Amino acid sequence: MKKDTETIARYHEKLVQAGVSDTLIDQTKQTNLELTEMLLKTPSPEQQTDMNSLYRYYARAVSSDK
Amino acid sequence: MSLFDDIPQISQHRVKDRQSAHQYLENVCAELEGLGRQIQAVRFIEEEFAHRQIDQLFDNDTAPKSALHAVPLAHKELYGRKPETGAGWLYEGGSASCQEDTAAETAHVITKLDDAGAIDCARTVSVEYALGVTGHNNYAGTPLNPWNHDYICGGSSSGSGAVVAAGIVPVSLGSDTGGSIRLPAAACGLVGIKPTHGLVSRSGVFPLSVSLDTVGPLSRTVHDAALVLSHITGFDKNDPVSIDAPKIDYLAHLDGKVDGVKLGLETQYFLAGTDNDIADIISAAFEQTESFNTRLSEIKIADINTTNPLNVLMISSEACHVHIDRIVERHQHMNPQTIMRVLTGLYSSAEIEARLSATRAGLAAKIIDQVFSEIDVFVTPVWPFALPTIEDSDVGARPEAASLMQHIGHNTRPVNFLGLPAIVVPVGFDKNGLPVSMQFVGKPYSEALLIKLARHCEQHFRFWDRRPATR
Repeated sequence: MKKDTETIARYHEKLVQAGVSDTLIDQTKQTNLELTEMLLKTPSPEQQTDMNSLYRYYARAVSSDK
Repeated sequence: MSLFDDIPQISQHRVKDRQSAHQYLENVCAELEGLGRQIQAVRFIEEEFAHRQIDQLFDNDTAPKSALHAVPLAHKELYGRKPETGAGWLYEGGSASCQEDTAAETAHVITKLDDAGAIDCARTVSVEYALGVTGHNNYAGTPLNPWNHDYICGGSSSGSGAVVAAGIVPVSLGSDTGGSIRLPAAACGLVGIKPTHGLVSRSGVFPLSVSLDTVGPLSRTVHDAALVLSHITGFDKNDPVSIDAPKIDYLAHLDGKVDGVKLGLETQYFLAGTDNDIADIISAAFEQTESFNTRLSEIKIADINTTNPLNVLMISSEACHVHIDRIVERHQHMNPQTIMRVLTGLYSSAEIEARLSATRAGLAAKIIDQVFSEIDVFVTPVWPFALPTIEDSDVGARPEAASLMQHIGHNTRPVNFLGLPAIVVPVGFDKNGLPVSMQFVGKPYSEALLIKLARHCEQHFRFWDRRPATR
């Protein structure tokens, strides 16, 4: 799924229409807010990389050790 | 049949020829049907298929393909199988929302075990969508801990932990996104390996989080875990996070020395976040590892506390991509706990998800660089408190237990977030007579060293000199 504002709102609406309880939805939104806040408090990484590139680098280091 | 046979015993004494292999398989399936169902660990048994596998093995090749030749195994129900003829095996992800769904393909690692000559005879219970750490499952069943049936096996590979600890099969594959191999392995007194990011393919395994899911073995012996890991590693173009790492025969390292290996007991986050009764057992066990000629120190890992909640956020965000449509359509068939855990991720935008991925890689690079310039392996407890009973940890019936149960993954989630390899190994028993285990976490692709350390622990602590009652 595309995680843009419209799609998230559309899924929210689908969940309400499907009968998922308001309490449950509110609780999940709250948990998401708290976790997102922790993410935003974490300083952005100094080096821009991704896990696959990083781990390919470590794998090459293991190869050269052998 | 003798329960608690390890792979060398089975291979050398139980499955020497076609007839004995069929007989042994019959006995294993009877135990799965009897004891396995009694402890609520078995989802389904595919005995006819497994007998055909034995016939094919002995028709095609009389020389053993590997030490796994004709050895019956049972794996977590997330592992798909689509036989050449007929329907795929049930592929429900432990959820009534996927009732009667069947696998469209055979999991990559299952094919690798087939190639090694292993026999695939059953699937074991998983927590719904592999998204829970206690092992409760109202649909598929809540496995009972073989050491004491009042207690949980942990999750989400709960059935795998139960059938191995009960001695029915020597090894079972589980999956681990926040601790789901290590927690049941530790709860059941088993060895459990969570491999390095990208080392083992997840293709054909019921997905939860594309970035964080890992798959690996639970076993009673370090040898058997090392053997199976050696067979299942390797690059797979169909897995988006698969890494082409060097292929290693872990058995060749099994009995190697660990002289001078620098072990660090992490005190600030892992030990401090663990109840004293468990932390004391782990500290004492850690001190005993000095007898392996290791060099011990206490360490602190900066920023490690951040990785736990971020792992939770990443699991829910990615699980949402996989499961949101099913929740909209079939939420009535699901556990409210599972729905909450998935829906938490709905409200993370694409920008937040991108930031989360970048933060993960940045933290991993920084922490790996800092920690492993000082030590080779860090050591932690696995469970942060004594194993709870099934009743006390049932969040559905006791909502007040939710926050405590959320704490179960305190010592395991950071390892998934950083992508590191870990092995858990039992070192003793708690006040209730349930297993207590230690976790060794190494630098990327250091599984061979972790296996050597676990082997030393196995020989030193001799945990399996005691066995759970089986009847």
